[in-house]
Amino acid sequence: MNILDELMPLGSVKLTNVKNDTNISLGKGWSYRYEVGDVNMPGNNDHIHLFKTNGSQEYSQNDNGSPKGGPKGGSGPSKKAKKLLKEKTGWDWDAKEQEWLNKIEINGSELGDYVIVYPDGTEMNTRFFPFSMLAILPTDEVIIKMYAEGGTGGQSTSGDIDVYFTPSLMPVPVLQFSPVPSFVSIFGF
Amino acid sequence: MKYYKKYLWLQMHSPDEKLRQEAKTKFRESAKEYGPYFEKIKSQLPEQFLEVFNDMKWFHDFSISSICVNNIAKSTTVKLTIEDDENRFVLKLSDVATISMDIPNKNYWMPSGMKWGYTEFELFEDKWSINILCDINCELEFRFKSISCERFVSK
Repeated sequence: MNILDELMPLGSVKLTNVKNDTNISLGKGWSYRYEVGDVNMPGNNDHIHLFKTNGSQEYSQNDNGSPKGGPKGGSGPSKKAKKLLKEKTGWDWDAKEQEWLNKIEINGSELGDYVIVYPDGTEMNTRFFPFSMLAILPTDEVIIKMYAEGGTGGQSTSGDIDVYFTPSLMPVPVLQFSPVPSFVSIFGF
Repeated sequence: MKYYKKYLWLQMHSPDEKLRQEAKTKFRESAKEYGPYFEKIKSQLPEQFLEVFNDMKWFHDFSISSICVNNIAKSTTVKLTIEDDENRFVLKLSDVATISMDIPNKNYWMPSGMKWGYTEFELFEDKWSINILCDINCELEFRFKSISCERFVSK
């Protein structure tokens, strides 16, 4: 193919302009699409997509209540949208989410952070101030967000995520070390 | 689509709970039959494409952001640009013999775009076909000789 063909392809038809949009209407500006997990592709769970019909927001939830990917265009579906979904399809977004949250284990670690163990075996560390006595338990919102952005959506793995800091209730002294030249032993011998 | 039936996907959205559950079961059963067939033919797909296809979970939930059909020197090439939150790929289908687009509701297409749902490959003597079921009842089919995949850009 020469460069002219690349630039001016003859007989070219091009369709562009993408937005997430309606599927099955729930009314009041919301739509949804249900999908069963592909049996031939492990790790794809049954899930639902909930959209603002104008494409401005999209949220997805797996059948087990876990988030499928992060929220788009907002922080989460509105109460109205969840109510419409439940009325029309029986899908209870909040109940599923709560059931999934109830299965999560949160364990403290020696370093003062928390290890979140998700129902599918995914493990994530929340890195709080090391050595702080006042590490605060991550909220449900943080737990969901961490999984949505760092989780694997069904495949067991473990990983660390260190972007969430929960401020301590009181100032925590931070030890400052002065750089020591590498040829000087700090013990003097 | 032979295995991933769009009427069943549509039925999964029925107001009738019993019909929804039946549709899910039937859809899974039918899709299961595709697994052994794909296992048999997949080794004949280019290794690089197959790797990406599997890594990206068969492109499920990718947006199809453009379809570009180029007719050059009596040979047709189709470029599908697809993307999700983190990745964008251009799938290039070469020596395309047929293009079929079944998009029954125009609201599902321009300018609304489509989401990749389920995929079926079929191998004929010297040609492949790829069937893509999108947004419940939209179906794209391309018959082609070779397929390649380029990671366009990491978002």
